[in-house]
Amino acid sequence: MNLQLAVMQLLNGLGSGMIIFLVAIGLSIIFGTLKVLNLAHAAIYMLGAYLCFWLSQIVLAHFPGNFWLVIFLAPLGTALIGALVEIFIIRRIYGQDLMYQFILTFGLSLVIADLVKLCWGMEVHYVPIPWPFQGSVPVLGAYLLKYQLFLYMAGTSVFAGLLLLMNYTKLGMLIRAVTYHRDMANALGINVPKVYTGVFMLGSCLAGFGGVAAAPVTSITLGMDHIVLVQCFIVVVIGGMGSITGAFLGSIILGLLNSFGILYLPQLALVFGFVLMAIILIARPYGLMGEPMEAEEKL
Amino acid sequence: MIFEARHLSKAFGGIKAVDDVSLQIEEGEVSSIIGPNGAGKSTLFNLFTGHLRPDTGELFYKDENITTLPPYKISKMGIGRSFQRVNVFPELSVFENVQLSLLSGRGLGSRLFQGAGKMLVTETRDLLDLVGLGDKEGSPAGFLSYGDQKRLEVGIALGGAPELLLLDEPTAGMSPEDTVNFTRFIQKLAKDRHLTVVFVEHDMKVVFTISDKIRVMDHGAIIATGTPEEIQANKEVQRVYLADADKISEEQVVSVSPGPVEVPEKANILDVKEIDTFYGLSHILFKLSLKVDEGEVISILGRNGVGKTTTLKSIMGLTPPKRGSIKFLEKEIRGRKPFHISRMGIGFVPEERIIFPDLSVAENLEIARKPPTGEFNWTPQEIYQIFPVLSKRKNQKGGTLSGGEQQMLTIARTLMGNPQLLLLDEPSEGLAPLVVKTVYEQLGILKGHGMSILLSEQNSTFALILSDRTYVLEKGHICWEGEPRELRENPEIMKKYLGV
Amino acid sequence: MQTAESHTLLVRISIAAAVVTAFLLPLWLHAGWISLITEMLILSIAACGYNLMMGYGGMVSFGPAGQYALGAYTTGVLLVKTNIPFALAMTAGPVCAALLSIVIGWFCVRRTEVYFSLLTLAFAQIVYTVIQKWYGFTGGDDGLVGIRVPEILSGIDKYYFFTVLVALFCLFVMWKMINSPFGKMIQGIRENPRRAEFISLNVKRYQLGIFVTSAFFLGVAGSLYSGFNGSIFPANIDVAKSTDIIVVCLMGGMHHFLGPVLGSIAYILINKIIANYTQYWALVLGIIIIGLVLYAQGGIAGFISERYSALRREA
Repeated sequence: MNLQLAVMQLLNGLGSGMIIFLVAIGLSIIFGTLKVLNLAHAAIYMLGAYLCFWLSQIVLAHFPGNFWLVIFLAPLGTALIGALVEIFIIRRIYGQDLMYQFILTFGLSLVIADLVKLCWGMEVHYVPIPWPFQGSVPVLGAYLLKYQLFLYMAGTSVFAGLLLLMNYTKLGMLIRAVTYHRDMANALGINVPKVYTGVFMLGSCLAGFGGVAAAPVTSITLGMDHIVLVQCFIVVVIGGMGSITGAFLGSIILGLLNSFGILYLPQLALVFGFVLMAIILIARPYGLMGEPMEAEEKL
Repeated sequence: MIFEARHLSKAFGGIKAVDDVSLQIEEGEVSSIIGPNGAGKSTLFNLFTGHLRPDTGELFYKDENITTLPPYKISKMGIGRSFQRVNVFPELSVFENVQLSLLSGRGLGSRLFQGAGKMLVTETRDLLDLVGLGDKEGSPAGFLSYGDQKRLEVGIALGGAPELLLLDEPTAGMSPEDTVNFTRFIQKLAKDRHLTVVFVEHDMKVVFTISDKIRVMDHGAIIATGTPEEIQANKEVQRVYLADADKISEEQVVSVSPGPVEVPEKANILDVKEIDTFYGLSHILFKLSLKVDEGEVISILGRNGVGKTTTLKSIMGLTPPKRGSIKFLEKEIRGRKPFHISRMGIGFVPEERIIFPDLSVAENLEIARKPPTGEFNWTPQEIYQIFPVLSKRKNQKGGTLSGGEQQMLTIARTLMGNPQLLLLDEPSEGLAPLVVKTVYEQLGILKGHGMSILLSEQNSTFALILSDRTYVLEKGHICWEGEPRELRENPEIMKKYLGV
Repeated sequence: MQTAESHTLLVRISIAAAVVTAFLLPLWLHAGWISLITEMLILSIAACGYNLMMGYGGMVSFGPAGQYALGAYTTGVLLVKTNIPFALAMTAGPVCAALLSIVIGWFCVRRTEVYFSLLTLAFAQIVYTVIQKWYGFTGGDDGLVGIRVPEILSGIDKYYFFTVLVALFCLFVMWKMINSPFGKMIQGIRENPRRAEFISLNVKRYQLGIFVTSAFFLGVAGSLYSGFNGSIFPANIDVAKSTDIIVVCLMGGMHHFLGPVLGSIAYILINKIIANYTQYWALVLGIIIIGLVLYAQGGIAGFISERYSALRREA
């Protein structure tokens, strides 16, 4: 394998890793704080991509630079939907068995996916790469899509932004307190239900943002959520539930694993991710950066 | 000698829960381990049964080294155990709970093709009768009262036909009458079946009645071993555990209690009327009523498991009562969310000192800051004046503080919310006596500022000095109320309900 | 007033009546219905097998399709590519599923809660991907076609009888297991694993036991399906299959032995009906699922059981 190919795969892998990060981080945060494994998360990502298509190609088709408007509007839309979902549905299953959460959010994903089908049909849709990221640049003999640069920037800014939010703002403090001990935070006067809704909205907003970011480089079609959902699980396992840095690292690892895997063993490329997931779960279930839960139960 | 521990130690984080413990248990001996909350008794049991691995030290059962064995193997060798927090199989019936233990104990657990329904029925019923649950065999275990679940615990423990029985606070939550019966039952059992029994207890009457030997633990170490007479006479033990009110000098008494605040008309700020609280299916509080007036310090005393924490949590909305009324400043608060109640002016300091470990001391305080509802408007500087040790650790992460410092931080943090009524759940638990004195001095200062306080305690000494009025709780009912002076003048009541 | 004995007698008579009816159905219903009922029975076996682990054992696996697939493809491959007799190929399926699950399960039971679930998902996905990509062995996306079925079983009615027999046998075995000491231990472990440890139960070994047993029955269902369909494709064993099985258990009732059976009937019927009316069956299914979780967690069996108890109390 020559350098050119290796560089191509590296750059592509990083790019796809960034997209996965944008979706997975929402899932991780929601699980870390709300303790809910939200299977409908990828459906919200898909909704984000469809909203991007609809808003930029239809509603605002004649607006110059519409992509950049949509990149604000669509995540807002998904955040609002997230709020509705949390308030009316998710709120009822906090603290219940994992099984019920799993099935409920699965049912929710079916609903959202079919509503997407209802609104936009079964055809494949496309969104063109927006200005100024059209075209490619030569890098070390290979060609890098300029849009990948946008992806790198988007991913790293979200990563940095979330770290800042969690560690240096009051909101971040509240979220960390509620994550650590919901009842104590409640007893101290923190409006825990509101924090929960807020976190869910944040996660959904990020998923929507991921959908918009992915739109120009993916085929927008039904079923795009299934592929992404499993990737999200893998990332969250590798990185550790609830860890922002872990999700970032995990996404990069998975992105690279997938792109190099396709090169070496195209047949079994997809398996690598699952094998890695299984290995991590067996050897170090809380992931690279997660906290081993020292649950010293009082017996 | 049937059981031996050599130099056992176990630490969590930086705290030594068990500190170089060595002991020998003779066959047929009925002994108890006593000590204040947090002394390490349950951790010790967990080490004995393989639920925790010791950092150092070894364990021997009948001359076999069991230090690294997993719990199921240790259980199979003949050690049975009941647990402090009730640990039954809630959705299975009482009958099935005990039957399970019998089947497993006789190695029949892996039989695949026999109907379990007809197996060991007589033996199960006999065991149920033995523990006094014969008439409840069909109920789901989760439905039973706390006391009955404790009996079931013992029944399950006995199912494995153990030779060494470890009982962790078996009479907690039982009425005095039940306790007496239970005590006699254990005595008889031990004799009839040649059992060796070790139990952890807080009820001194039980301890002194049936123990051949008593071991006293404090801060993870065994500080005294001997017969009941020897232990009662031991000064060290008295200081640590059976803390004596006359040991405290006159000036200490004065410094802790600034006396009742002179309020011309004591307005009532908390009125709890006949609340019934359930924990799952278990009925914990029965038509409980109490009152707190402005500026008062009220204490709720009682043994483990009687419902002290549940009472405070019911007021705070963390375990909302099913029936009854709770009025704070004339407004009904039953059914409201905890953060609502907190914002109305009640602050809660939990038993477990739930510090946010990743946040610094200053951040822990900051996060609880709320606009004032009454006359209090605490600033961090004022807080640091009352709790100077926190000022030193301002920027340290909460998780790195010592137990006593965390307790102070918990109180300080709740104060930042500017409550008018402070609820404290066993503020002295797990703290060294000197630290407890400091904490109570600080509470005294708060009282001097006019704060109303409702606290629960197992260890009554300081609580009685500080309080204006006292309620004594027994199995979910208030069984006595009055002034601390009256309680001290009636040692029989103290003995009956508090085991002192 | 009903006594315990008359209650048992009633149950016994109902079961006998149901069995007899099952055998007589081909007389009254045409092939399309019989085929549907065969599918329901196969799904019932899978769901009841899964429920051993999930409802009774409290072990929430996200990947029953993996073990179902092992059964289906083992039997399929043997019947298409070799001359092994049908009966052997049919038993090889579940046996293979069980054997491989010993290895998979050994790893899985060492993790709890969410981590257990995710690990089962990972393994199921690995199985799926290997099957889908291994063109030479499994035919990849083209699947295995031409699964041979012996003379005496070819034909919808005949295969139906075969399935009924297998289903009855499986349910009988499962019932015996659940009511045996082993079954009780498993339930105890579900309720309180810590306590179970301290009544001398090697919890992990028991959990592995039920995991492998569950896998066996899932394998039976898979193998039956291969014979029934005459062919098997990756599309039959993907994540959708896992969710089908899980939803069926919820719908029918996880805490009752026959719950999954009721769930299978309801699920397949609803799917058929919805498909006739709208192409948005996923939407309807999703709403039903949400409704079940929020309002009827006991499923159909739970609902019936509650009504029945209410009636008895009034009597």
